[in-house]
Amino acid sequence: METFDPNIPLYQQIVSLMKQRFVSGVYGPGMKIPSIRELAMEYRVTPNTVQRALQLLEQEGLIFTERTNGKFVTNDMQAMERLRTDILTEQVRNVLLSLREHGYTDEEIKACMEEEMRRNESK
Amino acid sequence: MKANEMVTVQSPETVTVQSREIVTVQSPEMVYANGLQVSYGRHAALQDISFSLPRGEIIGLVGENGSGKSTLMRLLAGMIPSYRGKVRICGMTDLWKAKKRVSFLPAVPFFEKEKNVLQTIECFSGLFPGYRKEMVQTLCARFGLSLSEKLSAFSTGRLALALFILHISREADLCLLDEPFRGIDIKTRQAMKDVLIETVSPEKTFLISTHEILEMEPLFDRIILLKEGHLVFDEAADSLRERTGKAVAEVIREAM
Repeated sequence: METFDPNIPLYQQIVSLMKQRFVSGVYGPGMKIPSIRELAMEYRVTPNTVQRALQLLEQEGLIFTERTNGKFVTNDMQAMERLRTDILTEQVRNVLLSLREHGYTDEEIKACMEEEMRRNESK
Repeated sequence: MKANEMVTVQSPETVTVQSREIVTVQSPEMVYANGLQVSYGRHAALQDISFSLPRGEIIGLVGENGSGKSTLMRLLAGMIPSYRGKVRICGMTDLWKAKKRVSFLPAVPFFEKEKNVLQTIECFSGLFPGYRKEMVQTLCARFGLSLSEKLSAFSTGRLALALFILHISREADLCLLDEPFRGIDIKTRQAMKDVLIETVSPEKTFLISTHEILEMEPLFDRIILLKEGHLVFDEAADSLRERTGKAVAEVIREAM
């Protein structure tokens, strides 16, 4: 169950959650996505909110509507690659910004990143 | 209507076709209100209230006690005959006639406690055309609510859920719920929220008054805030968030 940040428009948060599902493969390329109603029930938001989120995703070319069949994830691999890169860049940017504001140097950040990656590898 | 027939639009609600056939077109909004005023003696409960409730939305009605929330709901439910200003529900100006398209669950619900759910269903079926009996039974089964036990034996939370289910199963376009979550435990509230989202449709509009704004925020497409009988704002929830960068609860707290 999702807890939403009440300070940010809900539809934007739904967009982010859906993008996460595209990138992680929960909704793979060409796959049919659940109906607005089903998504509303799952996320526990209004169907209008879901509809707005899906409209935005369609505008961004990540999903398309097949009139009688429903909505599907795009098959456009380039669009998906762009999405993957965008999400990674955004998250790295946010982390860097936050850590730099804390006063950590890039060397410290890099070293810690590498250490954590090594630690997770040996698990 | 054929493509070459001349059409004169007289008002949003009626269209006159040259062949003298009058067709009622669905009005775009569920409720249209302009300059509503209600007074109890010298006390002005509602002052110059104007708003539109779109179809297919879940709208939160917020405000302190005495701000006019219940009065507004009762007016929309056709229970207040003397008011000033204009109001249309489903395009109808006669609120008594509009009543059959409106369901109202008051804060202190009226129900016969000696009856059980099945008997109440029978009663409601007689009163309200198109009553969805199966929906009540399915939902009660889902939440483990007894159909045969007297309502007086239900705990507060389960009674609230049962009454909620009984009312939401009416064939109504406008559903008015006056503080349905008050004093209800979290588990029951969650159940009610789920049922609400499942029942939403593009033709129905829900107007729900509540004090638990932070918790209920994600459930609302739109928020109407009343203060001392005046309308402070009527805005889409995400639009408020986008504009202010704040939670709806915060915006409301600041406005009060």
